[in-house]
Amino acid sequence: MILQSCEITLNATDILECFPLSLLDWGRTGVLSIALNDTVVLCSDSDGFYDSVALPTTLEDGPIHLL
Amino acid sequence: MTRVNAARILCIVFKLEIVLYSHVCVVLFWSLLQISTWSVGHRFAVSSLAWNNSHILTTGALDGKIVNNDVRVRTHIVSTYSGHAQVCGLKWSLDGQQLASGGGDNIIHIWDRSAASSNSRPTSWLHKFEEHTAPVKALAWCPFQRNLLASGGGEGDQCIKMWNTHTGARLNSVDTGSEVGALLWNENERELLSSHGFSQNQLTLWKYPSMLKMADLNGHTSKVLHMTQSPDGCKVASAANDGTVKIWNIFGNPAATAPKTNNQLFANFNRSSIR
Repeated sequence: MILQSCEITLNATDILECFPLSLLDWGRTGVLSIALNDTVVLCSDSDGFYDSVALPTTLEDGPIHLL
Repeated sequence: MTRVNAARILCIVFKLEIVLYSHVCVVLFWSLLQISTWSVGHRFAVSSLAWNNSHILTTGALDGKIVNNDVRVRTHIVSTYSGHAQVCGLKWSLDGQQLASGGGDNIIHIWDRSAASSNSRPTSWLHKFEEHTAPVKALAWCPFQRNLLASGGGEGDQCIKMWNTHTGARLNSVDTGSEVGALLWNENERELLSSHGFSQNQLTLWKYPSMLKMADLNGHTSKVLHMTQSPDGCKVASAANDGTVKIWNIFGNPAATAPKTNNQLFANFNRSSIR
């Protein structure tokens, strides 16, 4: 059976409307990331409901160190 | 050319615990410990990101250039592909050997990883597909059939096409009747999911290889340009211009052994509701 209704709806009012962009990705750790204009929001449903945080935007130059 | 605000985030991709996203001409790397920025070799905004393996990050930009970057080193440009007017989609094949790029010029290129040597000369494409009649953003490599690529055309094209990227042959073409924003293969069944624009703004599930329509999923009220799959392969998230992200349990029930979410990501920040 195919469930034809969505399980949950998240508010993403500030999402940009532009065809070439790529603003949504679900990581291997189970965290969903959404780019909303100047903010990145991370969502997790580990506690049975979707919760989210916004990323900080302090910037430093230089290469990254992979974890 | 689309004009974009320098402060806006244009693309995002996850790699283990690192989120990557781009402002104009830079890529931002965020980890548990820090954010850092990188200038990448583009004159215009980076619109697409794709990981090849643990350390090669491919960037595609609105200037049409595609650059392979080694994220471990400061002199990071490994190779460059040139061939588009504007990059709308980037996907590496599952074995990391071929890169598919979709352009604002309606063209799909297939690039060979092994041809991208350690020099920075522009590398030529392996195949060039010119059958779509609108920009191509939707690209998806088949998880159960090697060298099979699905592509979807934007407004005015509306077609899903299947390609053999070994021979360069087009295998199939289906007119969906609506702009195709994104494509995802079901990793558990021979099914393909597409997202659409006017007039229904629906997700459509197709049986492969017959391409018989199995279901339409309605709920969005504006074009659906983004889809991504949960790590257990069961759920799909879709984002639309109606300002919503919807989660669909379309590819099956989560297994009891589904990967556990890493809540460390959330430990360091104050929680806030999604805007």
